[in-house]
Amino acid sequence: MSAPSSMPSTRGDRTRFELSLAVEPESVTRARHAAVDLAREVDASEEEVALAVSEAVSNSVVHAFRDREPGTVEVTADVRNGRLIVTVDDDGDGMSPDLDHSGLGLGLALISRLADEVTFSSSPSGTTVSMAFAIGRDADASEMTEEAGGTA
Amino acid sequence: MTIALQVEVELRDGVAFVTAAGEIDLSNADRLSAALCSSTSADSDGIVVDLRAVPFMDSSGLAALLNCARELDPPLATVVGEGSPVARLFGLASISSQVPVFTDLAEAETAVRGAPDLAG
Repeated sequence: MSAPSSMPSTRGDRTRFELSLAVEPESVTRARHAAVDLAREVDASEEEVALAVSEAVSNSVVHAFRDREPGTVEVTADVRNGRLIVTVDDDGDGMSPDLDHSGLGLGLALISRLADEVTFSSSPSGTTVSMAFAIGRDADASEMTEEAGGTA
Repeated sequence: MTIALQVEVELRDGVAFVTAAGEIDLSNADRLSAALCSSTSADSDGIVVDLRAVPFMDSSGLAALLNCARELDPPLATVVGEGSPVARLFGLASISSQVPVFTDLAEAETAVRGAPDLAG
């Protein structure tokens, strides 16, 4: 298993980070916390970023490496064109149904509802999920109009 | 800052109260599952899962709850903070028909004690 490393950096007005993480459950927590820190800094919705990144990295950890040793998952974030862009990229086997796993299959559906724009790319050499989130006033408006239900 | 997960189980008058505090994700959702399983082995008539001190949970925690609700006999209800990220997750996942969700602990307890088939 490759050792995880991180290279957070700030360049002028472009705030970003790059994480290279081992494919293990603890990487979900680490990636989420890094993304939330950046979301807070650029005034994106911490709640939406947290859940979407957690789901995307969980997907890589659970589904990407089935019949071989786990590889790595790269998590990068950047602010471009007024949006926070978070990309989760693994070098696994790509997305396919996993009948052995007892999860809910909710991850991708949740990501689609949380991010303003999502791009999925999957091949036998890996899966990439790119998520865009509004920053500033747009993030606040998005959060306020979202359903808050589910309680009795 | 990581908020380590703590899960406690207390049996009161036949109902098991599972209280979680801290973030729940893939790295620790199995601890919630284990607590739920121990609740049923404690001969409980129902389970109330208190998630009001959980500032974050993803579908890994949701899977632990739903798998418990589907597989176990005792009725199960959850308690979440009003407007919390966990409440929003439940809303996004539309799971309230499978796991009843409350914002008040007493209401959840009443529901569990009075509805043997609550968990469906």
